[in-house]
Formats: sequence, C-alpha cells, structure tokens
Amino acid sequence: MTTYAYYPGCSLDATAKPYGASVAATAPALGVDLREIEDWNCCGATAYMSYDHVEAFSLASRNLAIAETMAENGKVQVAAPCSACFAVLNNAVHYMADDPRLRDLVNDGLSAVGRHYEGKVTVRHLLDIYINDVPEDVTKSKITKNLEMVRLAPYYGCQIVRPKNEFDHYGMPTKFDDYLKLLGAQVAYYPVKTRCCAGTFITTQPGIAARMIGLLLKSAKDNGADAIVTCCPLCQFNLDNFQKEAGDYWNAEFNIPILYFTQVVGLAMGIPPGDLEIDNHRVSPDALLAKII
Amino acid sequence: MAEVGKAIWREAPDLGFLKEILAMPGGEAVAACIQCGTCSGTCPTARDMDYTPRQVMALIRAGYRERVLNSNMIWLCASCYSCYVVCPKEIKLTDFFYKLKQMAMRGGFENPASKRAEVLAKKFAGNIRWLGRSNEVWLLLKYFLSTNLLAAVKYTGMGLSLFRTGRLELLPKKSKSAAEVGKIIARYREGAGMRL
Repeated sequence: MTTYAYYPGCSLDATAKPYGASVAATAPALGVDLREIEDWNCCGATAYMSYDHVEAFSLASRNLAIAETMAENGKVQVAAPCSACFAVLNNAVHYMADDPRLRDLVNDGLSAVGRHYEGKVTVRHLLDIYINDVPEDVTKSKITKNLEMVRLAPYYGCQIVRPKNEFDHYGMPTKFDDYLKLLGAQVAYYPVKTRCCAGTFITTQPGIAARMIGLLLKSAKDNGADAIVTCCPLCQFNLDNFQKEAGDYWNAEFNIPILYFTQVVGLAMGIPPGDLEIDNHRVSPDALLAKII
Repeated sequence: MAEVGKAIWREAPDLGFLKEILAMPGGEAVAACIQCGTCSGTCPTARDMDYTPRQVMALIRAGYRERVLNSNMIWLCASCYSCYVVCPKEIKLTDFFYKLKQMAMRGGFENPASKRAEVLAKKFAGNIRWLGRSNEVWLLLKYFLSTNLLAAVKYTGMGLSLFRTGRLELLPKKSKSAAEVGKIIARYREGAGMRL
C-alpha cells in the first residue's frame, strides 16, 4: 500500500463527479492509498496563469506546503487526477526549484498564513500512479470482466505529457495504450492522442473549439473506437458535451461515449456501472456496456 | 493572416518595448528565437490567429508594441504546450505568452477577439480569491454577464443535463481555504513592484 497526498481539484466536486466516484471505487482495491490534502484550494489553473503567474504559483504552493506536512521520511507524493492541476502543481515544483527568486516570493506570501514550501514534493498524475506504481499482476488479479469486444481510443490530452513529466513521451506516448490492453480491451489507432481538446475555448471561442473537439471525435469514429478514454475532467467535459456542435462543424454525426480511465478500470474489475457513475455522462454508454462480457 | 510588408512598416518602431521584454525573466527568449516557425507549425490554433507565434516573436524584435499586445495570438494560446516542447532553442513559449497576456491586460489593450478570454481569466482569478476553489456556475454567470448574456442560452441544454445528473454546484460554497488564499494574495500584492 503506497500513500499519496490526494489533490482532487475543483472539478471532481462538480462536473467531474463521476471521475471522483470511480477513483473512490477503484483506488483502494489496487492498493493506492489516497489521503486528501486538508482544505486544499484551487491549483492556480491555466486561467489564473494568464492573470498573474506568481499568484497562480502561490495558490499551487499553499497546497504543496500542506502536502508537505503529510510527508513520511521527508518525502511526499501528490496525486492529481486532473491533468490541468497536475501540470500547474508540477510546474510550480520545477519552476521554484529552478528560480530561487520565485520560490522566495511565493514563500513570502505563504508566510502571511504561517506556511512554508520546502521543496520535498513530487507531483504525480493519477494515471501515472495506476500504471507505474500498481504492479501489473495486482491489476490483472482484480480483472473479472472481459473487455475484448470493446475498442477504446486512449486520449492523453496535453497537460499530462506536456510541458514536463516523467510519465511518457510528449508527443507519442504509449503507456496508456498498453494499460488499456492490460485491462483486456482492444486499443484503437488514435493518432490525435495528444492534440488539444480546446480547453477553455469552449467558453471563449466556441467556433474554434467545435473544430478542435470534432477532430478528436472524428479520428476516434474513423478508427472504430467504441469510446474515448480520458484522464482529465476538462477533456471529458468538452468531448462529451459538445458532440452536436462538433458534428455541425465537421458535417458528421457523433455519438461516442467519453469515459474516465478509472471507469474502465472499474468496469474491468466488475464494479457495477452505477457505482462508477458512467450513466451520468451526456452520451449514453449503453452500447459499450453491452459489449462487456 | 494579417497584411505584411505594407502599412506595418510605416509605424515607428518602439524599441523600448523590446528592452522591456528583454528585461523580464524569460524575456531573453526573444533574442534566442531563430525564426524557424516550428512553434507555428505545431500550434493547433495558428490558422485562427492574426499573427502566428513566430510572427509575434519577430514583431517584438522589430518593436511593434501595439501590434503584439493587440494581437489575438496571445489569447488564442490554449496552453497545450505543443510549441514549448518542440522549440529547438528551448524557449518556454507558453510561459512567455502568459506574460504577454498579463502585459496586455495591465496595459489596457483590448482586442475585441481577445476580450472574452481576458474577461474569463479575470473572472476566474476573482472567483478563486472569493471562494478558494472554482465554481463553474458562478464563473460562467459572471463571464456571460460581462460579455454576452444571450450566448449563455446555447448552454441551457448542457446545463440541464449537468443538473439532472447532480453535476452542477449552484450555490457558491466558500471553501475553508478562502480566508488563507485571500491573505496570501494580499501579502504578495503589498510587495508588488517586485513582480516576476
């Protein structure tokens, strides 16, 4: 059992509730012990970086400083299920290590509430933990359902592999592909696996977003995927909720379920779909569920 | 793509702008740029921009403050970091563009095409200082009130679906972290001037 300081992020309390539910349903069985960081705040997301990056890093560092109080043997690993949270927290760690002035400035802000960031933290994406920390034989031993009729498109998105990570290649990652195979599913050829999902453009530039989202859906459809599997709440939100707009742009019809990887893990483990909140997405997963034996 | 080679050269270059950029941390990147265009080639939104990322770097070096800070390029960066990881000169482009966004916001530059992204960034930051965490409903409410309330109508179907499945947090719940977040930001702003 490995212990992690868990940083769920704001989305898991709202639009990404199914992600939170499926994490809770799968992590304990795999020996992933997630202990929530107390009173965590916003990670300092992308939108805040545009406003003021030092303030954004200060927000990130408050979470990191609290995580450090949970350290055992002087080290602590933060687990983030959201790719945007992962990137900001991870950037904060690396940028403060590279630039002592930034770290001092951030620590000066934290001193207002009696906190201090030391730099004992490693930030990990939850997908990275499921793939690399959980031994393969443990994962295999939990599989009770057969997914061999299901073809899945592994969608990494941007911020799990960029700008910096220890997890996989920035443009041509393969570990998520291999993981879905390990779970027993077929993996669709998916050349756009690290293309941008349009992020916040869904609000500010809906026309451009429809094109970008459509590109991801089209590739999955053309390659015969039954579903796209994501590891990020914003990717899931955009791909799931704007299939009509994307279809209008590309003159196509899309009806592709968008799952979180933890939901696929749960399905393979035989956890009832209701507990994984799979039916709480916009696109119905029924056709996919019917293929699970 | 914007006109090149005509009106642009009639403006007086503002080399103070180049100096300002070079003086900010990470700003020395503009000097390192070799104008290869790899950034523009990997950018998923380059085709929607008035100037591509490579052109923005060239404009900075030529001293065109207004054109750069009014450009929709900086606001059409979705933070996908595609350019960042392939730049042969290892320029941290995405971070560089964050700084240009901040300069544009503080300098009062308001490109109509970029205004919406700017409003979203400001409302998002304000929301975090208020609640400690993000609340999507209140963020979007404030955003659409400041931009175009009618545009919000398109999202009704999605909103209903989210509500039906219990995925909308209607009430702005103040996280316990909010008080601390407020103090940390206030402390940083007192010492402003030392902005990085």
